[in-house]
Formats: sequence, structure tokens, C-alpha cells
Amino acid sequence: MDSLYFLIPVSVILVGLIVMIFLWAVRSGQFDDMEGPAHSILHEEEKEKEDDAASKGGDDHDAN
Amino acid sequence: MTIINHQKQDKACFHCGLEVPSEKSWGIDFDGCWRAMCCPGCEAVAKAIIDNGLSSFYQKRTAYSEQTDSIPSELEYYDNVQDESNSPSTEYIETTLIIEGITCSACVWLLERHVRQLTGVLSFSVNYATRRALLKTKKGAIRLSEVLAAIQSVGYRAFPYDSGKQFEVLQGERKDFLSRIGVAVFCGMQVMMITVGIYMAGQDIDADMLSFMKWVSAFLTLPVLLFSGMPFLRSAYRDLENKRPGMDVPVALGIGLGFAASLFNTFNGQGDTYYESVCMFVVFLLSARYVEFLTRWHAVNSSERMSQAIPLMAKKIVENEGVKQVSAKALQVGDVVQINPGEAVPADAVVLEGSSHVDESILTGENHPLHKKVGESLLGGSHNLDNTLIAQVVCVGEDSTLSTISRLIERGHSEKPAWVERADRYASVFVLLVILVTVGTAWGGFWQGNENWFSIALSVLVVTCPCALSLATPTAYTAAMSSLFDKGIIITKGTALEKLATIKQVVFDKTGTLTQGTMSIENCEVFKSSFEQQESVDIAIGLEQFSDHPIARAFKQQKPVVVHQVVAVEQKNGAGLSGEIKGIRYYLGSENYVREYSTLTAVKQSKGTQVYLANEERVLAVFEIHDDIRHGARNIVQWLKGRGKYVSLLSGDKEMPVTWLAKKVGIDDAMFNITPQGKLDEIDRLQVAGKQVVMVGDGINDAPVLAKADVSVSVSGASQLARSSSDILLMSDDMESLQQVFQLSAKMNGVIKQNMLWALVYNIGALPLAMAGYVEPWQAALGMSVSSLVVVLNSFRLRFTLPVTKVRDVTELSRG
Repeated sequence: MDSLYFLIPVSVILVGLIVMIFLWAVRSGQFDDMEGPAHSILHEEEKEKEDDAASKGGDDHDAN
Repeated sequence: MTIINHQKQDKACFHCGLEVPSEKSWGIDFDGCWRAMCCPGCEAVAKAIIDNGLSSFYQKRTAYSEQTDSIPSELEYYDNVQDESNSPSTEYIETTLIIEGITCSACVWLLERHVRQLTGVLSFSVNYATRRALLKTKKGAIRLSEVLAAIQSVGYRAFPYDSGKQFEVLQGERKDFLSRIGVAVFCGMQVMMITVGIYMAGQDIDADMLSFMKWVSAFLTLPVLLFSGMPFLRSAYRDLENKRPGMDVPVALGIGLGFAASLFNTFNGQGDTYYESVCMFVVFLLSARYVEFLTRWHAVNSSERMSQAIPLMAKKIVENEGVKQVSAKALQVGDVVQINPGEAVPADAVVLEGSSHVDESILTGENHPLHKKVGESLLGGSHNLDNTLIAQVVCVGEDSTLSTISRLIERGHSEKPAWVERADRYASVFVLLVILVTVGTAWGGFWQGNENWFSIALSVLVVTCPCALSLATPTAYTAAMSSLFDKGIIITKGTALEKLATIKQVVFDKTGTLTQGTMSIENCEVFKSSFEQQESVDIAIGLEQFSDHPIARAFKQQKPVVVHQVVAVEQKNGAGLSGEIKGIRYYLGSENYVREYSTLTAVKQSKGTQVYLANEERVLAVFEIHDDIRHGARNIVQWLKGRGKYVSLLSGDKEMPVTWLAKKVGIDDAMFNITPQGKLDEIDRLQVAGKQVVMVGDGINDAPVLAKADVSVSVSGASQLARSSSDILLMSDDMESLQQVFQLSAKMNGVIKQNMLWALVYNIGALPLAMAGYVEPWQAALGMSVSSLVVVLNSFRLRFTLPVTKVRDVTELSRG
């Protein structure tokens, strides 16, 4: 049972991490659009190919 | 998913899906096939899309794009908007854009790809759900107008978004909710896991481990209480400050006391702890509140949609200078503006030149475009569809239709109906009772030596919290109002909606309500070949001067080419009249009337009203009269009578037109020649007799009568909105939408009753169980929250009771 003294704090730390990640996700707008990204993944299949062709410097594709 | 319309391949525009005019030949060669287009605008857009290497848009899309106009609007104006906006950084500029014309997710892809290709654009992301986009550009590298032009070139309209912070506020609120719920769920889950462990172990657990686990639970519950539960604590504090305990007081007491007692017991190393109950309570209650918030969010979204309608700039026509680009906000009453096809009308205006179809759906919910001619009014925010219009501004700023609508909606939502007030007061009393009962239970349990006294008291406190009672009515109102708003109906007083379903007496006004004041001759057919059409019209006009039949108005409006002197006029009540012109006796009237004097050779079938002109030998001509009865009036009268309502007509007009109209629309009880005071007296008489009255009027001429009635409905249409005063406003010209108000009113009352009943049954039923100690605190938390959730979801049903207006849908098209 002594292992619990180690495992429970670990789980608490994990929860802390999860909460932090979750709060970051909410604040950075990951939940703002619940529809679009679900579709957009279907439209990205030839992205790499086209990017190679276009290969523009400094083109920021960050979706956020 | 590609859209290929097999049957109508050549007829439907490849880009927007509208019909392609047969004589025109717009289109492009794409994918080895000729793709026909409906207009040069679509052609240009399709070409731009394909030339930019984005042609796979046409394979990806799941809905047709919107039709686009070919004339690019002047976009430089927006550069000033961008300059004015203060950006947090000196290196880049952030702009929020509203994008119109997004029909499917492929549009998002197309827009993002296209705009990101531009040099100077750092990032561009479109939010599909809200139709907004965030644009980040390098300072000085690209003008906003260039980006907007690029967006326009692929067939969308984009405007910088500056109006109304309401949306941002709600978006922030939503994030806030999500964060709090998330924290409560994650921490609560851990606490539950530890609690399950403690339960499973039973007596086998040693004291050190137990105390360790409880301390960990306390540590995990702390953020749930202080972060997730903060809204409850804060509003409970506010309630106490105002000395008016609301439903948050028992909630705050429950979680606060529960946590404090647990902490105390943990510290002492004996007694029960309630960490898991506190966590569950917060999670469930937050979820119920979140669902309630979503109903509000929907309501705001539909009215927010409207505030985007007014364009930021207008084309003002200045004498000697031609067309000038000005800010729409700078327009003054009397200014003359030009509105090109595809543009939005910048302010309420009257058409001076041109005629065109205008889409007012955003304001009135009316699906069909309306044809506007010279002298007719345009609503600011409506969309001009096919021809250029020159119009004079009649209304700006606060008085404009759009601001009036939003003001009325705000009023409707902010004004608390009697029910809600009452429920709030009850809840307040209820809360005090709950606290008293809790204290009593605790006291009684303690003196009887029941060692669970605190846990029982906590259960009582939580289980009887009157959240469901407080939510029962407001949620139903919000859902019903926003559902009606989508149909072009504004409720300015919530109480009206509540009363409507039970009222049996419906009184209609005539002029401007059942009639619209424009009878016209639609068609004239001449039977005798030697007889000129104009001559027959002139004779009819001459005769009708003597008639006060409502149909006569159609003729009286017209100017005769030759004025005929009519003598020896004989009238036959309501059926027709005859008179002599140059020694020839002419008969004018209904089919039956004319048949008496003349041989009717040909009878024309027609849906409308017909007037025959004859001399003593034969029938000369037949006129088809387009009556001015408001669209849907007949149906709504029939429908109301079918529902057992008593329908009557009050009018200041003369007998003949009133009885004629009453017969036409099917009202049996019609009163004529009534003065405005007489109308008031009549309503008063009905009310004294114990009847509640719904008065339907145009809201302008009959304002005092409307004010007198228990519920007033005005059908003035959106253009007269600012002047009309009533509880319920129909923005579309179709009276049949009144039916939806009645239906929803009945539904809403039903829902409110269900909610109330449920809340009372739950609260009263749960109380004895909790007092007897059968309910654990966590079960109490679950029960209370589920009861609120049931109420909110039940109200939410109202949004779906009305038939949904159909939007052009992909499912109608075949997939290829």
C-alpha cells in the first residue's frame, strides 16, 4: 500500500498538468469553432504537395 | 463531394446553382467540360478560383456558392478603419472580418488558401461556426483593401467587424464556462476516484492512509470550490448584500459548508467528509447553467446576425460631383444614395429611380425577394438583388428600422413577465424556507444524537435548492422569443406571449391591417373587336365615380384619357351600377348583375375579383381586379375560427366596403362606421364583459386601441416599425405568421406548466426523503442538478416546434 503515497501525488500532478493544458486550450480558442476543423482535415490531403510547389518563404500556416 | 446536377447540368450555374438564362452564354471551360454560369460575376469568380490554382474547391464543396455580383465595390474606405484600429503590436495588424457567403466548409479552405498566398499576410483563419475571420498582416506590407479585394475576387464579401461587443462578451463568457466546467470535471474525477478507494477499503484502511487520502481530496476540491464554484459564491454574496436571497444562496451555503465541515473533520481525523459531493454539485450545476447559457447564445446569435447587415460605406450622389464614397454612418436624412445590385441598402430610404428585387429576409424573415418601385421604401440592411437603385435616405441612426428592431428585442428580453417576477419572489421565499428547514433538521438531528446530522442537513440544503423553479419560466421565454424572431416576429412584451393562447376574442382592424390600400386593375379583356381597351376603361372609370364599393377604388385611382359625362346613374346595392353615356346605357358590376341586363357570351375563369362592363346588347369587357386584402388574412381568420376563437372586425369605414371585406375574409361579426372613440368603447365593453381581447392593427392609426387591448399585434411590416406600438410585431407582410405566434404561445404555456410542475414535485418530493436521511449529499447534488437540466432542456424544445425555414440545401442535389 505504501506505493499509494507515491502514486496519488503523481496523479494529482497529472491532474494539474491536464487542467493547465485544458485551460490553455480553452483560452487559445481551440473550442471556438467546433465545426470547421472537422471538415478542414478532409481538405488538407494535397497540402504538402501544393506547398512544395508554392514553397513560399515565411508563409505562416499556423491555423490559429 | 462534388455537386453535379445531372438533369439540370446546363441550367444550373456551375458556381452558384442558380438558373442560367437560356439566351446568355457565360461560363468557363473546366475539367474538360463547359460549365455554364448564370452571370458575369460568377464567371469572373470561378475564373479567379481556377487561375489561382484552387480549382479543387469545386471537388471539395458540399453546397453551391452564393451568387456574386461582378461590380467590385470600393474598398479603399476600409483602409481608414484599419488605421484607426489600435493594434497591440507595432509589427503586425490584427483585424477581425465578417465574411458573408460561406456555404460549406470548403469555402473556409478556399478563403484561407487564397488569402494566405498574399504577400504581407502573416496569418488568416476563418471560424466556420461564427463566420468570422482573424487576419494578421505585416504593418505596411499590405493594405486591408487588397485583402478584401482578394476575398471578393473569389466570390465572398468581407467587412471589418467593429460593431457591438456583445458577441465578444458572450464568446468570453463561453470560454469562462468551459474553463470552470473543465477544472471541476478533472479535479472532481480525481476526488471521486479516491473516494471510491476509501469506500472499497471500508474498515481495512489504516488511519494514516485515510487521513492522507482526505487531505489530497481537500487539496483537489479547493480549485473546484474557489475557481469553478466562484460564480455561485459571488452571486450569493451579491444576493445577501441586496437582502434578497436567490437560488445561489443555498448553493453557496451547500458547497461552502460542505467543504468547511469536511476540512474540519479531516483536520480532527474523525467524522464524514463531503469532498466528492461538493465537486459533483459544482459540476452538475455548472453544466445546467451552461445549457441555459447556450439558449441565450442562440438568441443573441440570431439578432447579432442582423447588426452585420448595414454596410460600412455608402455611395452618396452629390450634385455636380457624381458618386462619392462615404461612411454609412455619416449619411443624413435627405441624402441621395446609389445602391448597386449585390450591395446592401445603407439606410432606410425611398426609391427615387429604378426598380429592383430586394431581399429583406434578414430583417423580416420573408423568404421571397420583394419588387421595389419608385416611391417604395427600402429597409437599411436589406440586399439589392438585380438592378441599380437611386434612393433618398429617410431615416438614420437611432430611428432606423434596424436599431429599432434591436432596441425592441432588447426590451422584450429585459422586461420580466409577471410569471418570472412571481417565480423569483417565490424562489426568494423558498430559499428562506430551505435554510430554515435545514437549520431545523440539523438542530433536531443534533439533539436526537443522530451522528449523521450534518450530512442530513447538507442533503436537505442541496436537494431543495429551487434552481429548477427559478429557471422554469425565463428559459421558456428566451427559447420562444428567439424562435419567433427567426420567423420575423418580434415580441416586445413577454407577457403578451403568455396571455395570447388563452384569449378567445380576436378583433381585427380593417384599413392597413386586413387591407393594404392598393386595389388595382390587373387585366382588361375586350370582347368586341371594334371596342378600344382604353375606351372601356374610361367608361368604367366614369361609372365608378358614383360608387363607394371598395372595388371602385381600383378605377378611381386611374386617370381617364377621355372623361365621360355619366347621367341617370342607378345603383344596385353592392352588385353593380348603370349609367348613360352619350345616350347609351352601360352596366358595370359582377357577373350576376350584368347577366340580368345583357347576354353574357363568354365567362372568364379567374381567381380574383372580376368586374364586367356591358351595354344593353352584349358584354363589352371584363376587368380583373387585384384586391388589396393582406396576404394570409383569409387563412388566419379561418384558422382562428377553427381554433374556437371569436373573430370580429372593427372599422371606421362605411358599411359596404366593410361587409364586403368581412365576407371575403370570412369574418361574420363586422362593425362599421365606428369612430376611434367607438373602437375604444367596444374593446372596453368586451373587457367589462370579462373577455380578454387580442387586437390586430397596423400599429399606427390605431395605437390607442392597441394599447387598450390585452394583447396587441401590429402587422405594419418592418418599414413602419419605429412608429408602431404593440406587444407583438409581425415584420413580414404575410399575416399567416400570426398563426405561429398563437401556436408557440400555447406550446410555451404548456412548457412553463410542465417546468413548474416538475420543479415543485421534485422539490416537495425530495424534501421528506432528505430529512429522513435517505439521501446522501452526492445524491442530493445529482438530483438537484438533473432537475434543473430537465427544465432547461424542456424549454429548449420550443426552438424546434416551428417549421424550419428551408435554406438551399445540398441534399437536394445529386452527388457525383
